[in-house]
Amino acid sequence: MLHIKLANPMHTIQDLGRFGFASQGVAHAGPMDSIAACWANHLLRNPVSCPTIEIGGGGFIAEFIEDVNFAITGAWGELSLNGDTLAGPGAYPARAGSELRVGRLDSGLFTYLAVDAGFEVHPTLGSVATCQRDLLGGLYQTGTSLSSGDELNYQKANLMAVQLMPRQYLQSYSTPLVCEIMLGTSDDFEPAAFDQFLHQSYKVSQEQSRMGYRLRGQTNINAGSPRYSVPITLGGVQITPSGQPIVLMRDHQSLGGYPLIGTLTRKSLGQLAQRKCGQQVSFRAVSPDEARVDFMRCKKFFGDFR
Amino acid sequence: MSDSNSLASIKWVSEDTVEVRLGPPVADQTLIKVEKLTCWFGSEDPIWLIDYCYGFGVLSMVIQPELISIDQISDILGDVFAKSTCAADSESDLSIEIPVCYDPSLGLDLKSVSDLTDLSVEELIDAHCSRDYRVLATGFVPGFAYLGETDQRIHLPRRDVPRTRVPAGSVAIAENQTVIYPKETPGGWHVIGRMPGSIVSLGEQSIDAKLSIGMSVRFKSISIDEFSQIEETNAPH
Repeated sequence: MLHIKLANPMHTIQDLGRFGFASQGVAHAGPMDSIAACWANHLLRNPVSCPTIEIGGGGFIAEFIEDVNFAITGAWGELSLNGDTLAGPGAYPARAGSELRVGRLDSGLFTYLAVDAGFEVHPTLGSVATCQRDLLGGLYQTGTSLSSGDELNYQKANLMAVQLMPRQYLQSYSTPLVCEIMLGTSDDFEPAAFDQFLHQSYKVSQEQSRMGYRLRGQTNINAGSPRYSVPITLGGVQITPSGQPIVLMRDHQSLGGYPLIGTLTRKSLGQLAQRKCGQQVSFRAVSPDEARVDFMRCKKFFGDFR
Repeated sequence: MSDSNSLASIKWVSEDTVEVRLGPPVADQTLIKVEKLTCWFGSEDPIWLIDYCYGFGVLSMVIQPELISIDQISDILGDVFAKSTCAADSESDLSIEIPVCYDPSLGLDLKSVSDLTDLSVEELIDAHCSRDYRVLATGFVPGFAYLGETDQRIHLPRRDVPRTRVPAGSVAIAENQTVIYPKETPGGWHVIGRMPGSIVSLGEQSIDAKLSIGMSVRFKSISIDEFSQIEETNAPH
């Protein structure tokens, strides 16, 4: 059992997401940075669909009540086990009574914690993914985030040696980000709008949530007026009437009416999710075919990927 | 052989998501395609399909790109559309009456909509209540349904600045449609009233929504007292 001692509203249980109910308006939810979440399970040789804890913004303390191996990935800063600094993202053995602390973060926003065979959480609509907007998932199946005193069950396991994540896969979330985007069609935009969008840099605004990130750029993009609400794609970049972009994140609504200038690749979406308010973001166009080859490679590597 | 006219367009929108334009957003022939597809997805449960969502002429499918090509999907959908209608058709005749209280304390934008449309509040309520609507799409959040089309006199663009909180049960209008917010969410529609009770209930394995695509809906104006009475009756004990 994992006993939560300190948590905040950005600490939630996530699996790969709740699929099959989008036509009824249910959000897919799932990890904001699915690459980092998949790595946490992958390092423990779990199926990547196992429940993980998404620790947003640090400030997390928990005690392992029984022996278990855990993996921790994603955003990094002051992380320790029983007061000993953790060397980096990787899999670590935790003896019964060990205390894990995720303190102040230096790089990124979302840290992922997995244990051997995953946390045991009861699913709703086929998934444990916490969606506060839909009141679904999480420890109590009501979309609530974790709070101190919560207890998550897991299977006790034989302890293994520390295994750090291979260096070539480590990410820095502190650098300016160039997002790969599959551009939309020109129904809603003048051709010049795409150039304008690709040639300016944006900053992440403080309006960041699991539903979407608003970005701020120097100049406004001229978009068509809002039209019929059509299905929204994860990673979609909408231009609001004010001419500024919103990037649709995991808890995005299923339908929306703002014009879509393009869609981020899943890798870039996870990278963007890790950026804090004020960090710099720009965009580079990629073809859907090229992006799909990359995506399928990633899916093969992890066994699944969303 | 599939009818090549069936698919106006099909394209990748992300690495695992395909979008198809089925036809004009509110046309009957488009809604029939959606009903056929929903029926086929439900009975066949194709392995390559992870999820789908429809809204106003556009079908979006999250798929397993390693299992199927866009051309194969195009052929499959063409075949589904070429088939005769499915058994679910009779259900599309269902109609429902929904009580709405248009008191200004609940219809947060009633006054501003009245000003923008040059209609009195009474004329506005009458325009909203005096016709049958069809469910044109569902989604956005569980239980949310888009109804149309509204009286031309009450067509308005959405609010420039969306509300950060629209109360659950709010009945709202924008463009040529009207909607009910199943629960409190942000929203950009003009709120003109509120329905008592709930439009959707969520189970552990399924969702029970009162409104589905093709259904017929009519609104009935009720007083604030009637609203409170129904709310009290429905309140959990």
